[in-house]
Amino acid sequence: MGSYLIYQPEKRKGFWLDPRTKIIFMAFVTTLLFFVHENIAIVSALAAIPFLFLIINEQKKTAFIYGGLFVLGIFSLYLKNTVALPQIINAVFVLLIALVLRLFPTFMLGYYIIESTKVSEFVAAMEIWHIPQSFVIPIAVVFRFVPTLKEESSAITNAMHMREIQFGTKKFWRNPAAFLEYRVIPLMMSIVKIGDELSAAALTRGLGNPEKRSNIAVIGFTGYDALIGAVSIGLVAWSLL
Amino acid sequence: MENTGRLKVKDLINVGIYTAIYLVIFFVVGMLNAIPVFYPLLYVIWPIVCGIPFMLFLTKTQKFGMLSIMSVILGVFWFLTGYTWIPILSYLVCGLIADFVLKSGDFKSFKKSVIGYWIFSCGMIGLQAPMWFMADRYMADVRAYMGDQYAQQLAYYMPQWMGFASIAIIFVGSLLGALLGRKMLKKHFERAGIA
Repeated sequence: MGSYLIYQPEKRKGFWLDPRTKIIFMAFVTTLLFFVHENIAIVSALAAIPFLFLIINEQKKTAFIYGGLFVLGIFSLYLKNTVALPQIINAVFVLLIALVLRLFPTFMLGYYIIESTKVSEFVAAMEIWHIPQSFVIPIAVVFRFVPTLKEESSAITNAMHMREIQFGTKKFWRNPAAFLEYRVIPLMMSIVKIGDELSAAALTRGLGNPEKRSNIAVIGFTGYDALIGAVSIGLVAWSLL
Repeated sequence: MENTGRLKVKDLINVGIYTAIYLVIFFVVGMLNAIPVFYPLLYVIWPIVCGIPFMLFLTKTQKFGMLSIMSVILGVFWFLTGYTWIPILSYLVCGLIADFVLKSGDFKSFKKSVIGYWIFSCGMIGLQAPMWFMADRYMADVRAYMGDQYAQQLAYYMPQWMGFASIAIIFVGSLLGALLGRKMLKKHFERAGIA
């Protein structure tokens, strides 16, 4: 009888941040953006950080799409008050500028956090912070559920295309409420099902157990976290100048 | 379905799922913000569209605390996307009150559901609240970001009294949303044996 090997989680390699660092940094970036967003230089710096994160995380395509849009947004910001456009075109422009400049730094960071954090790591970090389970579980579900929602939604879109039910066709204008129904109801149906399956899977893994669960995810602060801290302090100093 | 006692894992997972749906719908509809005239209208559109998932949520989970937890998550999420700390406060207060209202109706009465949904939806006023609390500063931001044209229209469509009017507007939206949700539940889900 040989002894069994105990499962060991993978050793972390390369650039790695503790989930707590990510969350604190996210709150920090948001707060800072609120105070300094007239200063395009700092906003760009704030956008550059998640851009680098995404590159390091090997999501180059996403990074370049976001980065490109951000640069476009900055361009249009300079062209903004030079011409008075008709309302619709103005609306499009406004949407672009506002969304991109206001939200992209945080969006990119959020995307990176969601992509790079394993749920188990997140839960482990939250346990250290003594966040009650009744919050951790829903948040972990939200984390993982949004991609599923996207998949389901696009599948429904494809199915509805066959029946000419999409935004802007003749059928749509005849009855916009029906459009809503045809889109939302199938989504709800599949979501109810997925939810039940998710609960079953979670219960199977002993999530309903009143005992304290152990967790083998490796988390902890490293030099990279210190680096992020230093960058944050630098950004604050820069914005106070 | 027991509606007493504490939230179990199944309920917590449901809370997570419906929070996710709520957020996604919020974002998709929120894109309309680009056109100032839509600002007040959003208060109607949001509750209507979110009515279906909300009513379904009510059939799935019937325990005190469901909306409070959802509110806190939503509030924190809005904080992280740059809406300041006000949404956390408004959502938390509204979620708690809505929970009490639903509890008093034992999660069964439709009337109480509508009122609960209305109060819960009022949390979204917190998203636009900075517009009135810190009016000058907010408008300066909007001007800097969105251009003069947009800022003028926004000020025109969203005067100070809109903050109070929005409560009434949200009620209309919530009522319609709840009715729509109930109708859809009857039409689709009960027939399929889901709700």
